[in-house]
Amino acid sequence: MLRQLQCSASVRFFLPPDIMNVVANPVCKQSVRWRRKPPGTPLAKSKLFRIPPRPQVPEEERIELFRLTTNYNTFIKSVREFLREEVQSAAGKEQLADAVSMDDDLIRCKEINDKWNAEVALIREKRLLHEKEEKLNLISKRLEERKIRERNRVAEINELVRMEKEKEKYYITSENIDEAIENALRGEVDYNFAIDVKGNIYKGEVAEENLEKKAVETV
Amino acid sequence: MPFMKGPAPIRRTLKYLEAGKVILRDRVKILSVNYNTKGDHHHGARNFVFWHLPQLQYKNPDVQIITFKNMTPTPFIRCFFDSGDEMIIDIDSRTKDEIIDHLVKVVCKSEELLAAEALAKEKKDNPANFGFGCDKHCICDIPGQIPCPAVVPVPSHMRGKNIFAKD
Repeated sequence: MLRQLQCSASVRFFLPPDIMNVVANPVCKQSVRWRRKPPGTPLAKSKLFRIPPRPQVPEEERIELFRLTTNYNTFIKSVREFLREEVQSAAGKEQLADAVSMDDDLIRCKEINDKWNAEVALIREKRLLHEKEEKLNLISKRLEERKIRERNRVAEINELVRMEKEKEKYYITSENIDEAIENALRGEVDYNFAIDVKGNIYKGEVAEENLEKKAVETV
Repeated sequence: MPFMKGPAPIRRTLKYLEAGKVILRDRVKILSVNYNTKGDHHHGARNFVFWHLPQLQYKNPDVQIITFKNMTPTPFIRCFFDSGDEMIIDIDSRTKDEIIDHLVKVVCKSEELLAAEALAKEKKDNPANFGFGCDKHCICDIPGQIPCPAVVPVPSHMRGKNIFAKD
């Protein structure tokens, strides 16, 4: 008996049966490049500006089709709704039956579990309370630190202001600008002085006679 | 022989898996564990999942076991039964051993049931059976019996179709 070989229906129709086992494995086969265009490839040039023809449906046919489809949809929807109601009522009955016939063992286990859950809830409450307290402590500590920082900052600023106020004596303002200019013009700086290791300044171009004695005196 | 890869690969050894204590009831279909990867009160849950989940799945291959991470403030286990019921087991700040013991008490088969099932299984594992799924594949395997019926056809008076044929 010949095996049923994989062969297209059209080929099977035209060829005699005894040749089928050769045709099933032909020497040259047509192959298909791809089933559909791969994603990302652009449209073919012949299809770029193609405008598909708008389908022209005669008015009477359109009305008839619409009528038929709406009737069909209504029918299907009603059947589905009916089945849904049936299933729901059946499921409801089943659930009732299940609830009634549930294992006593399982009920007992649920009770044990509820007790366990209650214990864990207590532990959790304690933990959350503890965490809340810690958080509050941390917040108050941070606020304190911020206050201290603020106080220090204000003190520093005050110190700066005080120093500036002291220096204010030597500022040149619009009132004493003329005086300051005159002083600057008049002011002569005498660079003829000597300085010893101790930082004592001895003014004058020529060293005084008793400089050494003086130095000794200062020392 | 090189070391097994991964953290605590002993969890993947057969001996460890066979030592699992948790054999869930037949009615339990899904078991889900919700826990976080950080947090002291999730430590027990994390350990339970790390150490005992492989054992659990090995012993209950037909139960869907799934973990949800970082979705909950407190860890819990949820068991779904075939009736649509569910059981929530709170495991906040519990150690893995406590969790295992509680599971054994609440959702596992009792020891008597396990013993009865083991007994029933032994009856099925009769070494005298032969054929598909048995140790001996054919009657010819057993010493002192007939040669293989695939080679030497069984005499007609021994064939079932002749013995039980209604004339």
